[in-house]
Amino acid sequence: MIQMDEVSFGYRKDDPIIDRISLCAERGTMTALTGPSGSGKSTLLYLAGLMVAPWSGSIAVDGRELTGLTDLERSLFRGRNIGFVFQDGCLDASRTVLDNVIEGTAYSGEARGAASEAALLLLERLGIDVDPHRKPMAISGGQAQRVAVCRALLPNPQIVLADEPTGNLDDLSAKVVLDELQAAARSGVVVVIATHDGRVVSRCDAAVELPS
Amino acid sequence: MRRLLSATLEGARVARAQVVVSALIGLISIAVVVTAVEAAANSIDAQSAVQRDLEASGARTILIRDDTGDGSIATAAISRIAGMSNVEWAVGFGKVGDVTAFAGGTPVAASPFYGHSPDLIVTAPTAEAGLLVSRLSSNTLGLALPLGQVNNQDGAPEPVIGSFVAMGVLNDISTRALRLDSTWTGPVTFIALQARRGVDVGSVAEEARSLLGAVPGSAIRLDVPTALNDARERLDTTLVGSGRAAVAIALIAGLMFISATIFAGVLGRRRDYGRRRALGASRGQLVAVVVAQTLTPAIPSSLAGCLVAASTLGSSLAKVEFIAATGTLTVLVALLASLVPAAFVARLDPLKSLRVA
Repeated sequence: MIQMDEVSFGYRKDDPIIDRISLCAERGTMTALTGPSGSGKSTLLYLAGLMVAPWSGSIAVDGRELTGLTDLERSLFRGRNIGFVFQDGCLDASRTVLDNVIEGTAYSGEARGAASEAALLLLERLGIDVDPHRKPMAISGGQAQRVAVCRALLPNPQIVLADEPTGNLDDLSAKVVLDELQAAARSGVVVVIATHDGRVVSRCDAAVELPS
Repeated sequence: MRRLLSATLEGARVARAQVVVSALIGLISIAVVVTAVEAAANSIDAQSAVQRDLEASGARTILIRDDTGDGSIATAAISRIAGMSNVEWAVGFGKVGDVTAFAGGTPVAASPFYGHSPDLIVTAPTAEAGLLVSRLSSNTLGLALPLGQVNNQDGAPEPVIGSFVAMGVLNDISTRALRLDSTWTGPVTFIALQARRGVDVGSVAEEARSLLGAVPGSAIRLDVPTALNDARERLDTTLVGSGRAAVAIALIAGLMFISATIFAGVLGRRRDYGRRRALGASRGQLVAVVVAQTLTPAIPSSLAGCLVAASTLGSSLAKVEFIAATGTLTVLVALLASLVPAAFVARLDPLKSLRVA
């Protein structure tokens, strides 16, 4: 479970974009963060992902308070426990699909060989029919986003945070991506999705609307 | 430590993937090594040429004159001076008297000599006393060969027993005839000696004066080329300084170009660094990625630059050690150049980076 209590954060001093927001997302559920543009959906998502420290409030995962961690401790926690899915996949165009999927091992220090095998199995299990040795330029946007989901799921994270994962996808591709995220949630992962896409909200177990 | 090593290897993989940036860094590294080595080699060669020229002009040669012979300097003084540890050679000459080959012939000055110099090559088939002539003095006397007989100014005959070649600082005695006489003990009126090092000429001259054993109060004159050596020192300093400046400029330019190249690459890929942070990279790991990304092409390119520099130098006096040192310096420059963009990356706000389109 991820628990955020009275969290505040902003990019400019005395101008909080997130002002005392609370959020609770349970394991095995998929939660949508909604709200108008500029309401801080993505920012709240990245706060939950420990990308930055909040000005105030607390963030806890499974009861463990994480607010006071150092940057290095947050990085370690993020690498082991949190998977991110970005709007357009955010793949490295200069690396192969497989390299993109296992990129996180470069920072966790895990063996690349074992990670590559696991990645190939995961790509197969998710039915992602792309040549893992091709560059992302050669695959479609929907496939790229599914590769990004694969990258997020590879380290068996407790939490998956997705920022507008269906923003650029057609209905079919969006459905496939949401199916994969939902399957992850059903396997016990906390899935939180920042979105303004009605297709996503309708698939989620809960929705939190941020004020404008 | 394992995580840092892993991030470093990732930096090397990034370098292989980003071909254009890596190629630019490689080309700059090669150019830096070659330019720096060439600049230094030019400086070393110029320094060497100046030293050779000054050497030929007698920068280390001290001349001692006792024109009147009042000093009664003995040939033993020449042995003492030649025995000094900081003297390369010493040779002395006695009073000059004219000789002619035949009545009414053109006279040539002849003087006894004592000592050895590489600038005075003597060819005498016999060790008996007699005259040696140079090609010039032989012509003046009208001798077809360095053989025969001449008369001294008192009309007494003297055999011509061989020849000599004088060069370098002793070139002026080519107009004379030299008298080879193992029994000659003095007085010596002119001594030429060469110090081992230009910087020592002042002290060598003083020590040589003390070894002359000249009659006190006699008019001994020393010609010491201190001004020439001072000029050499100044030239050496200037050439070394300009050589170092050229090397420094090449290295600084390399630092700026490599840094700018990496910085441009980083600026264009800010989102990648935001993604790496999301995937669990710490700030330190991002620094390792950027540094490794820079060094991966810089190290082999610097080595290639060393090989190119070594192959293009030809007969230059620049040593292999210097080329290797320049290659190593270039790698260090690349490392330094990577630190600014690496620090920039480490300080990037991951949220803002991820929002870069």
